[in-house]
Amino acid sequence: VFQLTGTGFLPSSTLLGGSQIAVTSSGLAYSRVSQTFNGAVTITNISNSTIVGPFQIVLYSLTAGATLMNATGAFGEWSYVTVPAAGSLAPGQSASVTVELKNPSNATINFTPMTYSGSFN
Amino acid sequence: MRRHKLLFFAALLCGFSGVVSAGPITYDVTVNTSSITGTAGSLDFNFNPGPLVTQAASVQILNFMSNGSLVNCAANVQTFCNTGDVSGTLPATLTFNNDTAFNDYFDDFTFGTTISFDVSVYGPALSAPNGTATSGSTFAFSMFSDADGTIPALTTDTVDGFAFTVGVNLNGSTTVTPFSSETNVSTPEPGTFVLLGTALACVGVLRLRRP
Repeated sequence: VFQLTGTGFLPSSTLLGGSQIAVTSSGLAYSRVSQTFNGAVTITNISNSTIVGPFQIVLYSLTAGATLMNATGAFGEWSYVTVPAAGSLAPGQSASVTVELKNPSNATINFTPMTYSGSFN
Repeated sequence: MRRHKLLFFAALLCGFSGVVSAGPITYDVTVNTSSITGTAGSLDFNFNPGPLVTQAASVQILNFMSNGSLVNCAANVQTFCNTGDVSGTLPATLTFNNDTAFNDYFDDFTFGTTISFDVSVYGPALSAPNGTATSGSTFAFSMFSDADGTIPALTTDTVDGFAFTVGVNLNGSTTVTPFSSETNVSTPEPGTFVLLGTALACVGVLRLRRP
């Protein structure tokens, strides 16, 4: 099954809603060595049933000028990361992925996390 | 009547012990820098919010002591010692608030044999987590063997250079992540004297309840 996206046909992936997945993050510690803001984004299955992965987190509307340095790839114009070692999430189960963001202006970094199950490639 | 009043206040204090313990969490930090004594390096402290919705929190660096030498900030040589919402100058107290994206204190430092300081984490994110925040905050401490802060020292984290981080979690707890065997970060001591007083109050309650 394929779905039509802004960038063409991609293998099936499903956008998970707010009643299925909760997304939280840590603070962003700044590294003078890598000159990146580093943290972790965590997804939690808040539904009553298991959600099958893999899971992709798209950093929708990432602050202009900020760059996700450890991106898995791009989904449309936004970068995304694959949550490692998360084949599926049982109800209440969580999984995390690190994010390394470069932001030369040091201004506030914001994005809207959009979580997909399935693969983008 | 007096006995009932005493009982009431002691029980009240006893009941608040859980709330009090969620207040400032203080870590004692000691770093053995003897292996890099004499190195003209630098120190970095930063405390930043996350990219989602973050509740207010603060960090203080207290009781900074070392037989090394702080080079620039105390002498007002560097103009970029404090970036963002940071006040104070080492060795006096530093206060960081997480209401701007990048809150950083950086100074050149000639290492002696030891550094010690306290990290106190406090604010609404710890004392009254609102349940609506979706990002925590993170404090990070780093040491470098160069004045520009590019060569990590005394850490296994050669990619980012952190000696340790303290994360403020969404439930009001904190998590320490160590990267340096030379750096000892003690377990938190949430208001030792308050807890002692609370314990005594609880003992008082038990004694007053006896017939």
